[in-house]
Amino acid sequence: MLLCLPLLLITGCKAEEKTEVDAKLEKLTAGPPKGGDFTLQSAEGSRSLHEMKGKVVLIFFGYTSCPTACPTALDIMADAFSRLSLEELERVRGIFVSFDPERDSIEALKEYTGYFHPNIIGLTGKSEEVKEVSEKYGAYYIKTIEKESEMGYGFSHSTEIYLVDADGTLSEIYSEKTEPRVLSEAIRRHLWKK
Amino acid sequence: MKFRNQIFFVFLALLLPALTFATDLTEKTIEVSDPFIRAVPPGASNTALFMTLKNKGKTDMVISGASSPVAKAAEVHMTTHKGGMMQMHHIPELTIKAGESIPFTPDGYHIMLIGLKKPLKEGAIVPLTLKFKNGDILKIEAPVHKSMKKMEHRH
Repeated sequence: MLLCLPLLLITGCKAEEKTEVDAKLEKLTAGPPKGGDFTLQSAEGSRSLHEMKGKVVLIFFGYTSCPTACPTALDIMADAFSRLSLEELERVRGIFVSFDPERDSIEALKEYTGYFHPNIIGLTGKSEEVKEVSEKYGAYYIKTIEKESEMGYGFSHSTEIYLVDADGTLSEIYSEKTEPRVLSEAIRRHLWKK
Repeated sequence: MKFRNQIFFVFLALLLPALTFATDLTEKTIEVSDPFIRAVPPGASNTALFMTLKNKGKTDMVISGASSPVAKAAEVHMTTHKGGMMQMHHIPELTIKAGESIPFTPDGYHIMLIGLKKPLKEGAIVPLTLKFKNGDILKIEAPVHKSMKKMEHRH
């Protein structure tokens, strides 16, 4: 990372992280995910990623019945946000996409994300719509039926946090074990780059 | 043969009360360290309890279930990571060998509280009962914590 500092202003220091991430993603997709615009539903109506141009957006795919990975990722996102100034925060958003519309209503999602941070919104849609968005970002999930469990069903899913630039480009991908400080520094880098 | 069977059943009938009497395990047998429950948003239906369990006794113990008044069900689950994917499985029986210590963490075994009956407030003390295959039970009280930071500092 230290070697990256001189290159910071030019390349945004993506090279190192991208290699590591790419190797992991190759298992899930044919190539690195392209990201891109999408439209899903929130409690306030239809929301599109392009509406957030000019803002750095962090995206996480999960479901509210998830007891560990999802709250942890949102905790990290919220912690990262809390390290930013109010001015910076105005240009940062978090999106939690639920791939469990069967159990997660848009109202439930609003309450869920609001608990972590006011800048995080919850979105979902029809299963096919969410699937399409998740594929763009390389987020993978599969429903797992748990016959012997009161849960009924759960999901086997990837747990990455996607960082979308102010111009709408998917720029970086972080694991849900990332330190909040690392995430807030990454957000700052993307807020200030031109 | 029939007479022998009758004797057997009479014997069993006399023994049954002893078998069904649940022994409340004290800390002398199973030691519970740092139990806590992850606080989740009011609308969330599930959460998890983390801790470390040590079998200080001389016999292997098998966890066969759990229950808590705050949730519809409590189950032992195991988290696995495979090919970049996180998955959880219900574990119907978990053995803690004599002398063994098992950590219950987000990345491994944990007790899942399924179908929370009402939102858990940060700082609230939640009772949970662990059930063992031999009929023993272990009562635990775990505080609800908002952040996972408590886990990160432990080694």
